[in-house]
Amino acid sequence: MDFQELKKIIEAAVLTSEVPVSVEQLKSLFDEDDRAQILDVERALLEMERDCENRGVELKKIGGGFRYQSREEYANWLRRLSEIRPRRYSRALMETLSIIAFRQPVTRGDIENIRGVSVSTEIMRTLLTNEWIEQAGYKQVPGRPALFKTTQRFLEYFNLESLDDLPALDLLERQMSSDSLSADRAAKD
Amino acid sequence: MEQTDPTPKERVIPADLFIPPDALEVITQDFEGPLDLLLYLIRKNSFDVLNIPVAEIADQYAKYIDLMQKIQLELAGEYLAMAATLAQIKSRLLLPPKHIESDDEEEIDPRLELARRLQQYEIFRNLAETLNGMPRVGRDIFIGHAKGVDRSLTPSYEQVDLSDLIEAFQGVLQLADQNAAIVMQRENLSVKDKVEEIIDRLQSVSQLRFDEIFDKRKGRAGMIVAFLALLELINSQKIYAIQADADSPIHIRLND
Repeated sequence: MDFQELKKIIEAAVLTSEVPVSVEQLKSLFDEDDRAQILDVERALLEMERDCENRGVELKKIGGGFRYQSREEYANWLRRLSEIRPRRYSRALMETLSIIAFRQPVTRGDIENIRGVSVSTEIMRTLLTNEWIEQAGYKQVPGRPALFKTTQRFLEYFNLESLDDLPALDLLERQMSSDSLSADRAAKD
Repeated sequence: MEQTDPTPKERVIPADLFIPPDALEVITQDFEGPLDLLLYLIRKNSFDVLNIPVAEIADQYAKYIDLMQKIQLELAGEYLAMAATLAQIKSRLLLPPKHIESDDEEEIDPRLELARRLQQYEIFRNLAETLNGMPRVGRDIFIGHAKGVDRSLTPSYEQVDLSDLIEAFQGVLQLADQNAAIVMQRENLSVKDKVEEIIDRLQSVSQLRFDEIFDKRKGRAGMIVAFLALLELINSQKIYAIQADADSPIHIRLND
């Protein structure tokens, strides 16, 4: 099979998939012993990416897989096409989701500690039914509270290649703790 | 003390007390809890989070709580707990330092723990805003899909009537009986909750397949509750049910 043919197969596979397709999955479309072709998968993806340079859609790596998606700058026009208005989420929900995303896995108690208010059942249910978060076992402390973490769907929905794409929290926290340390010292002086 | 600002033109905020004329407006914009309100007060006064003048902030905070109670805003217990914490810190600061002799721990500034919590909350509040602004599917980006079905051949949908729904429900119930599991605990099932859940879900996906409404783990009672919720939503015209032809699955959609 020549390279152009292989590229077309990969293009079709990515475009017809419901979820982002990983390189591994794409490689599995071809015979294992055909090494040359397997190496070509990555080259094909690169070319497909470049082919989109002058188009309204782009090939993006999201949550470890590839998908075609519209460019952000065309959102204003594309929004008119969809029947359902994108839902607005409350600040409380976004704060809860942020804490789970940046501190995962966390318990409800962890979320309450940070926000200073009890976690709303409705918010947790929305996050769970949207499949943005899921349970990740139980914390080994008295009461064994459930732990929550974000899902693959979360990455897909928020257009992230991985959790590393989120703003660097540790940087913010390190800065914060050094601030409090100096304040601590100042208070003792 | 209540009347702080007699001059309507220039809003002079007294150094010791801050009850702005727009206090009510501020309150009704819904704080996400005591930390949120506290941060607002601190920022509004341009105080340093690490060096909070607790006495002043505690007074202002208490005034807001008063006001919230006066207009009978539903006040979460957390707000009152915070007022108590502030009052406690305030009173500790009023005591002469190093008063207690045998404290095995070195006495630390009681404001530090509060400052730490405020800073942490502020970080996540900002992160939530960042996350909210990030491009997301269905709002800023749209996924390219070749659905494998020629759109021109998509069948036209028909409205479903009650007997179709009941028939479909019987099918789902039979399925539930087949994999009847042991119900471990009794759950409170409410049609109202289910109604909200269905609406919630339909707001994030364009449509749901009939059987997706039912959670088989909730048993027969749960499924009946779900079905009642569905009928109620159809009756109040919040949703509608359609199917392509008599044998195809029924789908539920949100009415605009």
